[in-house]
Amino acid sequence: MTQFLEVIFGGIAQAAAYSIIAVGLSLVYGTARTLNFAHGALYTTGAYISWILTVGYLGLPLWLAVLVLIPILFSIGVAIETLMLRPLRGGKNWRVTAMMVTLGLAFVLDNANLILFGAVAKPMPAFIEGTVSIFGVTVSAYRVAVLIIALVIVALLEVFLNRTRFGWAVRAVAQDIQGARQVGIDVNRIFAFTFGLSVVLTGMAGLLLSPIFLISPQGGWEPFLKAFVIVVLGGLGSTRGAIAAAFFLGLVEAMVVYQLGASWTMPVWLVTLLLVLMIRPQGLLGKGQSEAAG
Amino acid sequence: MLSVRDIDVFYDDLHILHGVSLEVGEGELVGVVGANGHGKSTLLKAVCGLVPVASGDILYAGESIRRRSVSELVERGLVYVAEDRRLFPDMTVRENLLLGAFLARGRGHEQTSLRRVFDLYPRLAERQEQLARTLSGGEAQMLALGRGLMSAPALLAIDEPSLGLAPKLVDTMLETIAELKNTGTTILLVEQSLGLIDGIVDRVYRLEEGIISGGAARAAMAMADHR
Repeated sequence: MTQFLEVIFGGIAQAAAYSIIAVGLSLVYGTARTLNFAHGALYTTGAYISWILTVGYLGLPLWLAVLVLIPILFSIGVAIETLMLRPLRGGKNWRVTAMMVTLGLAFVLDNANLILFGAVAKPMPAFIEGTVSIFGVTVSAYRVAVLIIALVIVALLEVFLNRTRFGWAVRAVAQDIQGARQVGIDVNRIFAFTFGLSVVLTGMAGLLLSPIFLISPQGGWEPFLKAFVIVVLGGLGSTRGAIAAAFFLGLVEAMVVYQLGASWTMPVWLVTLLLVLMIRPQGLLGKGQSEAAG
Repeated sequence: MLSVRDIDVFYDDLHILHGVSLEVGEGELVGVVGANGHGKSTLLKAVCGLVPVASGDILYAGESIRRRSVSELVERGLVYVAEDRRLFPDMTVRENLLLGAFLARGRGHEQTSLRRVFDLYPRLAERQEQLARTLSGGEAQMLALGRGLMSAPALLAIDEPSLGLAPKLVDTMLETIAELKNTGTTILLVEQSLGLIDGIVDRVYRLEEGIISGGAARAAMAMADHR
């Protein structure tokens, strides 16, 4: 029983980190209507940059590494949106073209990481050592920290979206692009900002999860696929839905790993997705797709 | 106040507006009528910077605005109210209205503007906390116009406000538009039939297959109609 609870807790902590990746993916899909296939490669890139900043080369303390990492990730996101995606927008079939461009970018990033860092996975030490005991269950302190940090990040994001003027503008763009333009919102700025923010989110998740999974050049695909399942399950463009779906799938995953073994994870995610979509095609908390691209 | 000079507008390969010119004087309520698909919405969107103008020029307060962004135009008081409302469905009525005051022009006096909108449409005041997606067609149109007013417009470009409304609601809607004119807002109003707006406009243009005609005072226009 204790072992089962440990597994469940591990699942929850990982789900919290996945929810950050998923929320980033959902944010860009919701505002710019672009499905970013490079989201996983950017997760890995975030992890590698963290590795360079900390144990790899520079030896910065974690807090300083995070402070340096955030503007780097944000700039990468803004650059991708303004240089690669904006020129495509509005052209014929631009959504498909944009998707293909991000897929190409994913391969470029993966292979650049492979050339720069080699095929051998890089270990990352846990930033917090030791274990803590919760209700008699022993869990690693690091996983508790991941859970708390992830929840704080999601809470900050909710506050930003609901309480700030700029956050309102992001929601407005997500709900009706032309309506947002009509009230004077500069939608290109919102696209660039949300893309930057989404890379910060996925890169931070890369940092948080690297002590658990190691860092490898192709390591972003599984988190990307999981984030994709979470986003579809939670309802496209719904932040809260993504969080609910992440925890639901995290728990399912933990139980599957406990009962059947880790290799069953992805098949079970897929089956869960299929089952939920059969019952609720709009996702757990989704409101149905509104074709609001102007 | 607004002077559209010989503009051409295309959607991809489709030539929508052919050398359209029109004038709107300060404080005027000018109508543009024409059947569906003849370019009325495109004309308003071109004026408000929402679609690009291929050739010709648009002057607003004496200055060319052809290459200005929508944000710049809204900041200068040129505001578009869409025929398909373009509300934010998952935000409340109040949030929709406050977003109308997103730019500096509308900010700082949101409470006064809100009161003005609620005086005009008490129904919106009752439904402040409701999501925009739950509104009826009439209420949605009120909200679209109300959101436009929150931007503190100097010139309001209103696109077919009667669309999808019951006849009684159309009358109320047009009355409030006439009221807005009386409070000093310049209005460019697009509708399908002259009969609908005949009573409230100062002048009318007719738009047929992307070509404009008319612009005379409404009495002359009505005579032309009966010929």
